[in-house]
Amino acid sequence: MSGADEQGTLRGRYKVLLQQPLPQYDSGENKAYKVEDLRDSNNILYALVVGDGVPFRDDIVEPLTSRNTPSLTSLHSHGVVHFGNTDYRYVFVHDMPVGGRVFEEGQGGLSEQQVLNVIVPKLVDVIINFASRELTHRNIRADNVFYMDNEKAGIALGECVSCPPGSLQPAVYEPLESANALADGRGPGTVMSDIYALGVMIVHMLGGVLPGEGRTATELYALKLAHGSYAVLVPKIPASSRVGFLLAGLLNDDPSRRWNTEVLIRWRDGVYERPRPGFGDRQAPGPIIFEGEEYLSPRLLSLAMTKKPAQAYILLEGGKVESWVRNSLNDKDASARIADTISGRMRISGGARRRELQCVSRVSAILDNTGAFWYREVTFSRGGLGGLIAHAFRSDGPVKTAIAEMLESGVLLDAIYVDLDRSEAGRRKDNSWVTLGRITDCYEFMEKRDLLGFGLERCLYELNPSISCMSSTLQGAYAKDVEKLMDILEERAFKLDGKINPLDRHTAAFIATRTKTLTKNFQKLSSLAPDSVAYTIMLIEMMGRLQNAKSPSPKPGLCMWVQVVLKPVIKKIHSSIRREFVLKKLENAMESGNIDRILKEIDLENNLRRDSSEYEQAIKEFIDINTGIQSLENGGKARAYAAKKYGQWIASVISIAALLSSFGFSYLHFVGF
Amino acid sequence: MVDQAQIKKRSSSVAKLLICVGLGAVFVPPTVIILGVGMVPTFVARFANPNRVRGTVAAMAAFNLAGIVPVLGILYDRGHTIEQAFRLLSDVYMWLMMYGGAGMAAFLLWGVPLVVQGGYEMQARQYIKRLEKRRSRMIEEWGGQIVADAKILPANPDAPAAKGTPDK
Repeated sequence: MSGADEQGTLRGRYKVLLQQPLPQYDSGENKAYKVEDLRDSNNILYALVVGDGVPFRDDIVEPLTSRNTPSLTSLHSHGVVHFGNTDYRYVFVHDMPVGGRVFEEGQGGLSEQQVLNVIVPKLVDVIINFASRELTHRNIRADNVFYMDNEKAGIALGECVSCPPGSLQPAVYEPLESANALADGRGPGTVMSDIYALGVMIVHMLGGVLPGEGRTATELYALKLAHGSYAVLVPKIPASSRVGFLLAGLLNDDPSRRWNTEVLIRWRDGVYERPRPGFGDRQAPGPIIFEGEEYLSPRLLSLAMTKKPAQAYILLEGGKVESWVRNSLNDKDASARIADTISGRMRISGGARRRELQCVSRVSAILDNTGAFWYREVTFSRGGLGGLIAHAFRSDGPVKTAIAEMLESGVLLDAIYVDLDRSEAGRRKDNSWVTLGRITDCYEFMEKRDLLGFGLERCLYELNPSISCMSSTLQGAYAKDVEKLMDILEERAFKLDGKINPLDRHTAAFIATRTKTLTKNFQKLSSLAPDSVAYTIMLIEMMGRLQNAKSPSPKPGLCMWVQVVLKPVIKKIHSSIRREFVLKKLENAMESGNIDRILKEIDLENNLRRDSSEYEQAIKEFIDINTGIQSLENGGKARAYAAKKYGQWIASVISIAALLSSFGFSYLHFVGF
Repeated sequence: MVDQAQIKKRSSSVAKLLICVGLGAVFVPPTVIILGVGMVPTFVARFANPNRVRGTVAAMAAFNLAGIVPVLGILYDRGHTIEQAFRLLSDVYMWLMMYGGAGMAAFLLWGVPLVVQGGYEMQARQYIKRLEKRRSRMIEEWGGQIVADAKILPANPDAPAAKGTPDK
């Protein structure tokens, strides 16, 4: 197949028709388009083109493509598709559910028989299948269930790979662990999250309207904490006792008491259990008063404190929370940790406002250690920070600033240490909001945030292995790895005659993350002044190493960039002869298309060093010449004096010669021989 | 101290001269008459030397003496008598010979330094031209920056002395 034919085609088979969009299948920021299967025209497929900077679920893509999952829209293929020039995009090709959605909002609820006998068993199969592979779907909701054919016989759950886990779910579908998190920061959760979402979906389908519609995510979260999800959601739908028992099992807010896959299998096989519904968060025997409200639940108190951090800090300073946790909740461990936080034994940086925020954030994480972590505008669940950072970079709002502040202040790192200290049965699990290794790395990256290859951008790529480089230089082109990045940069550089910045903050962070061999170079780079010659040479050297290691084909475009970057450096050579010589060598070396070779050929460092030492000599010589000219111009008197002395000496010599001659001639004349 | 030593040395040489003149006046009076009259320009030069440059009096004396030596030869040839000495002194050619030597000395002492100075000036101009050429070449090679940098950098203390000042 020729290159032209391959444009817009995935793996030479799936042709993505960008001119035929399918907005009904859009998935968040990812747009859906019709796909033509070039090998089997009977296949009816659609493609989801991943939006710029959307981190798809790389961890579940391979398991899903390697083994077909019944009752799930098949993922046929995925990968990067070239749509022309530097337009590369990541694409997922799915079976198109031609029968449409099983449930449409505003068209009334479905019958209990259809939901419980047809839809739920299929979804239970999917959940069990996923659970057996330790995967989570995180996209189980009423409008993501489809009929696969026009006869409406086959039912399948929609895709779950193209967006961060749970990011498309309405807040009500989220269990307490992630209900309070921002949409992109909900995290992968566990199979229990899927089971909970199944429960909410049943309520949604039976009731015909989104449960909790009209309420904000925070209100829903508070209601669920106060009364339990079952009490908040279920009484509003016409439910039989069979549905009631099912929902009581699925919507229990305590994951350990929620129905697990074994119970679901038994339920599917007709063995019905009668679970007790949950009642929200644990309640203390005595209340604590905050802002005129009485709180019995620590998680509700935590939520209220995050809404009013300044007032919460006053309450914390007064020691009331600490004593309430110790005495009413009878949790001495948590009380001690709160006391540590308030007494300032942990690092707290910044001014008074920051101190308040950090203190409230830490205490909130202790009071609500299973929920989302809060800091200013940021809330995210376990495993959800990566998706949230990606979203923050896409929206570039206050969330990004808050994340940067959270990471650099170490508030999250400390909260994770405290959380991990809360060991269960003597075993320490690295299952906090972010793994300890990652958050420690991020803290270090933020310490060097001003340097290339570090900062929040580095955290973004470290926490999102699937995300493309978000550099504006790439103009939205998808670069999953450094090799592809080099190719796209090459094309961009060639198009713009090398006038690009291939190593901006994003590309540098992306390369540093994906290419661990360059870590030392980035560290060395951080020790150099950004406007120094050594810094420029180091940048080019790194690009050269990348070319050799990742994409060794000739890169005339990047060589043009090298030329653009090196010319000002070469112009710093004082000697015009040497400068011309180096420029000539650069021109010749450009033809090789190899950055490393260019550097070796022109040997710039050596030339600059020699030029510098020669220039110093030249200055000295120049000064000597100037001094010499000046001395000669002002030396008239000295010369006159010297000439007089010398002239008179000559006259003396002539006189003596004349005297001797006179004696000689007189002797010869008068005495003779 | 130096001045006193010089004065002492000078007075000692004057004393020697006076002894020689005294002895000469006793034993060879005609010779002393010729020398005394013929060497007048040298005595004048000795006492009226405006620049006090060393060697000028010696040059004058040597040239003056070179003119007197043939006159003394004629004196001894015609008879070494006081009468003959006065006879010779009455001859204008004898005067011309004796004082011509002194004149020649004066001319050389005035003219030779001028010629040497002319040579020096020409040499300096050529040297300046050569240095300016070298400076232009350096600016061409290193750019105008070198002019500014040369002003910033302190002058090289180890630089060899400029050859514009001949030291002779």
